[in-house]
Amino acid sequence: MKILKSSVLIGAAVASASCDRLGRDYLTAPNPDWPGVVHLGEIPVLAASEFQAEADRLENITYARIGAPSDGIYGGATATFTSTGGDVCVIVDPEAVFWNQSVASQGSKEQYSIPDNYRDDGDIDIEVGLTAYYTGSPGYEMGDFAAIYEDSLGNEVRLEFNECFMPGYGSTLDAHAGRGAIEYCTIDTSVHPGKSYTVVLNTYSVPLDDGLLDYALAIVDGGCGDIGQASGGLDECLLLAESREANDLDTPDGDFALLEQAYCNGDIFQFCSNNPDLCGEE
Amino acid sequence: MRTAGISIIVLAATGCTFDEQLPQVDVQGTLILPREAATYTVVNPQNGEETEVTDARAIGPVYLGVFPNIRYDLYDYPHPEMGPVIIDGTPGNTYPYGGGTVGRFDFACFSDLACRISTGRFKSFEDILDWYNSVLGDPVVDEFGAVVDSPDFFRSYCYELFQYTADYELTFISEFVNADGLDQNTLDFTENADGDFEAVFDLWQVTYKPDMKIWGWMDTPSEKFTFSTCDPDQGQQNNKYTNEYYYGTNYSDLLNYPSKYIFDNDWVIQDPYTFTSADADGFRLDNPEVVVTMDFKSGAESATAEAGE
Repeated sequence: MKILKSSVLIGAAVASASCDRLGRDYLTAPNPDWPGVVHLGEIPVLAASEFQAEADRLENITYARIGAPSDGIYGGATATFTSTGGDVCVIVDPEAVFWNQSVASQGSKEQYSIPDNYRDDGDIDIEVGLTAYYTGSPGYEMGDFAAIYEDSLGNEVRLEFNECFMPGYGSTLDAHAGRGAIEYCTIDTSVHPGKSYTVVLNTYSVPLDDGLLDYALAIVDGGCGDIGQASGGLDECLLLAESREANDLDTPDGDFALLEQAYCNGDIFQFCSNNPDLCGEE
Repeated sequence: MRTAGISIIVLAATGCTFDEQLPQVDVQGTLILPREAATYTVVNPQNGEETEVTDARAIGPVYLGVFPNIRYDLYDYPHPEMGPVIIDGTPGNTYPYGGGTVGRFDFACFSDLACRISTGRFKSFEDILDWYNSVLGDPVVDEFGAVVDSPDFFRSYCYELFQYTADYELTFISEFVNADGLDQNTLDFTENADGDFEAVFDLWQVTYKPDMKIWGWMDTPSEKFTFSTCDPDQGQQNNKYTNEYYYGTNYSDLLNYPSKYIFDNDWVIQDPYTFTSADADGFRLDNPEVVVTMDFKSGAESATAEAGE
């Protein structure tokens, strides 16, 4: 009886202690210096020749930063571009680098045996459409490209004018990439040459380490398939150095640049072994 | 103990009467096609002589949808109201509330028959060969161009192709013995006392709105007995040995953009059935008799609202 009583007391103590865990560690707070909703303005469409070489990309693409949105507010950034009358590729790469740790008992990959630091990763989801259809207020409130059609019986149908389709598993066209991974889509502007398009970068998650989400954005003339083929692939290594110095958006974050370089060279294991503080906890 | 048992029975019985009050309804009704819709003009390829044949096998697939309203000023035939035109050259979407078919395309084993066979039209292999080989004078051929004139060969070819062992597995055959050994007949149409053709149709899970309307059309076969609603480049692909073709299937947006697929001689509903119950529960309670007649021949007359208004 005494043992039972002690067990109940210990159980109650453990249960009450566990209620003390609030999970604030998994939330980011707004930063007064970096608003959660921003407008980047008009971004020029890069010619393929301005994007193909790595040095040109580092010179010409747009680097930006966004803060965590306030509670209950959708955060993100918007930008506009003028259509070329042909295919335009929109690419965004949120910081930082993400990989799945290899934990298989057989066929494990040493390169990914050290975990990723998930706290430095953010996630951005793209939508692109004609500016005329955008429902948000750039820099103030995020919106989308949906309109409501009401038929003669009053039934409402949502019309979707987002033109950025990314195929996922099962060939659906509404997929998005995950944390730290690039997203891209080809926009066919042939029907609306010379018109303004809006790129919507919806904040899906902000890095937990500093509450700030750095990202690289490129808008390039041509289809993404061709651009990727000419530039070495549509992956993490296409838009480099998206993490920037805390106090200087024009300068790459040195540590991250080394990590990304190691990732792109296939040297992650060695890098993480030498710099454990830049990778995940083992 | 006895009380508990009775309570459980009462509770179970109550559960059977639980009304989920779903906003969707299942609609069953009768479709009437005029005799002329089942009349097909056969042209003798040798001498050009024309012969009219009235036969349920000449009835093409029928598409039925439920729409907010039908308009008579959009095309030369009655057509559902449309949403905004978003893409140049593409009509507005009709945004149907639901729909169904009477007969659908099915692949009858030979590429020669792709997009030419609807379910619920043919009783047997003999029936198919009789229609194409004898009535139309356009014999069914296999992949080598050899005429298929044996129902047994037809059956064995199908069994081999699909790895089936019984006729009831082939949905384009409508008279068969089922797995329980019972005779079955799944033909869609029967001739009524007026000489017209009738079929029962089902429209599953239609989102109910009072005043919504049933409208649809029959895809009349072409001179080569093909159908404009079938896409020969879609469906399952056959790459067996030297084969390289698709089985064909219907386009996926027939009810959303019907005007892309309706041509002269197709039969269209002019006087749509209007749902008058206040809501889905009311419709289930009223259980009205639903009858629609597809009596407007596209290209042969002008669309008017008189029947529908």
